[in-house]
Amino acid sequence: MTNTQLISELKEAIIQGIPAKAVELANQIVLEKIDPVEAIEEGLKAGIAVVGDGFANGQLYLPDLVLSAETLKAASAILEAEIKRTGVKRNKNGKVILGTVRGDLHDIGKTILATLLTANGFDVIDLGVNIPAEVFIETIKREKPDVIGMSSLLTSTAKELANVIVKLKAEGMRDSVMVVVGGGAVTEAFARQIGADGFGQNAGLGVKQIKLLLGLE
Amino acid sequence: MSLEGFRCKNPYEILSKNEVEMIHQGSLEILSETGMTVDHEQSRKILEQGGCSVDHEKQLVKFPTDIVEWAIAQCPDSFFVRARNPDLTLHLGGEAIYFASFPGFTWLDPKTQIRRVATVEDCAKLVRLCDALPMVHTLCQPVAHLGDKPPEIELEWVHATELRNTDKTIMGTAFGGSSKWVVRMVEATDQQTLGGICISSPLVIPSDQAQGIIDYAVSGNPQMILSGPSKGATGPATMAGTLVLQNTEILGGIVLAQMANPGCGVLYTGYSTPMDMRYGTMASGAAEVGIMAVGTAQLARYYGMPSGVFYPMTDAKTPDPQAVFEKHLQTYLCATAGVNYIMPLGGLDNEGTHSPTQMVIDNEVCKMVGKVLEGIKVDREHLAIDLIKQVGPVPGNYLRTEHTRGHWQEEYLLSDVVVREEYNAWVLGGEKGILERAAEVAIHLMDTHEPNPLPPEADKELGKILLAAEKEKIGAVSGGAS
Repeated sequence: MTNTQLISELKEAIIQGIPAKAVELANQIVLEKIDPVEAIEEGLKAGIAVVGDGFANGQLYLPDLVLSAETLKAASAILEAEIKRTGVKRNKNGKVILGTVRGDLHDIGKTILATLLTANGFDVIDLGVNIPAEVFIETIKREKPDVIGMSSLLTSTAKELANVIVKLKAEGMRDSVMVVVGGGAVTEAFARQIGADGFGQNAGLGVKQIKLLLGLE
Repeated sequence: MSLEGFRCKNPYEILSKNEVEMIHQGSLEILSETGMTVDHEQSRKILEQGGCSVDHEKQLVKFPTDIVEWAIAQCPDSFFVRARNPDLTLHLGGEAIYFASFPGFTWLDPKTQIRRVATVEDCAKLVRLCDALPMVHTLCQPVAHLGDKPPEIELEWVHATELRNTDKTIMGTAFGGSSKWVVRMVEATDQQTLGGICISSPLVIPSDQAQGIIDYAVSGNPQMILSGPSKGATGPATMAGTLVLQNTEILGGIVLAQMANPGCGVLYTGYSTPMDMRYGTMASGAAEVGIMAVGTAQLARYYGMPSGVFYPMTDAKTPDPQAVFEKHLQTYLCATAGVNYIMPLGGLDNEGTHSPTQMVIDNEVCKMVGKVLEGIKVDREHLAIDLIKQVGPVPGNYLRTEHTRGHWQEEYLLSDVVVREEYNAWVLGGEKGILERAAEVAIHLMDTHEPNPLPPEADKELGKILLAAEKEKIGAVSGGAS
């Protein structure tokens, strides 16, 4: 297979959402010393963009989107490791840390947001669910993201969003990062009240909000 | 003595006996091999002492089959939820069917049709509407969120407001440690509550819910143990798979409840809804929800436990045709399937909104579904053969007979809101449809209905409990008076 063919196969594996296939192709790309940045741009990102568009147009559904995201995650781990090893630089739209706050186990909306952000060229670190404030703070210190996105579905955990912001202030880090909140329990008024920079009612609007905050739209 | 409600004598079934057995066996396999995460140390210790295998570091509990079967055998086949007013006590189980109100995060004010966050005063009016409507046999809090109280104690305030404005029974909660305070409040008002416990799918008993299971079991209050995996998201995409997971999670909760207090009353309760694969929202008005209710009732009967569902629900945002057809189909299926505890009244937008206008419409739906359950009374008097012979052919008619005057009321449903007058009368009356009429009735009842008052000493006690909750949960104290 030529380089172009390999990358195009990788793109197809992302679109089809077949992790094992994508991992195999990513390994082969590394083995044949193909530029990993090109593989990410023309393979992974191009593939997930097709899926993101299909989802936005109503031609693809959540199971398609999520399986493609899983595939992207698996392949990108291999290619990112290669980039790190070779020390190549590349441009990204921005770095976003995502997580559902402590006490809340709701995952799906945040996962959709992570996928759409990746499709839009962001570097996304998804911490998962039930994340204590301390973990958000540590990760911000380490990763220096442009944006932190927090979600809460339960009214009983919405106050934890405020708690993270209070802790950020206490650490003197509030101005170092944009804070965007969302989830079933969050309204725009609540987001303003707790001093967040932005609010996304759903994943699509969340992407829009983050782009707006970073001056990309 | 207990509240009459309705009765379902020949429940509609969807699953065969063998299919029910397959679901049960699947759950036993998952409970013993995979187990559940129990995020609560005291509960894990109770489960460990009771014979479950516990990995405290991973917070994982595995439930041996003989333990699960022991717990099922402890559950009573019926139990009471004692009301302050004995005539309003629930007797859950057997053929009994009760309807309950449904909560919202916000409420849709019938005066303005604007959705907003409730204050304590709004909440009191919403509770009085529940108190006034006859089809609300029991309450789930109409709103779960108050704009004028700190979030840490809003549920405590909601429950106190319920107890102050109705003598019907209410559902308790466990979110944010509220179970401890609900238990104290119903003790102060001399009644029981039906505790509400939500398992997190897949396979997690969160810490506040585990605490709630213990609080309600130990205090002698019955509890509904709810599981609601979302088909395709937090549960398998298939209805059978989601039923297996729902059943597994309810049984896991039941084991903890029965170990905390053997023989305590548990309402086997489902709230599974499919996830919409385009929006990622819960498609709570879907037909599958009603179908799952039938399966839920069958499983509960198989175990010899009373059943409940945390719906009927709709995804409609306003009291509109979608709200009515989605909720009516589910209400009909739940009731004819023999679900003992059904929650059709007032909900919109999948728990997003509680609507007084919708409450009044749902009150009509419940009356109609109740009428279906009552069926046709057949005896010599009701067959009216002698009467038909006596009236004979036209010009005979039945309006002028004593038989009609004696029987029509027991056989008819009258309504203040359904449009039944003839066209010209409707035009002269201002061309009002069901929405306008229901809103008028709701506003009138919210503004004027007087509930059976809470004795002053109980009211005072509720104030003290609210102060104690506030002090313990947030340290500061703002006041607990009504």
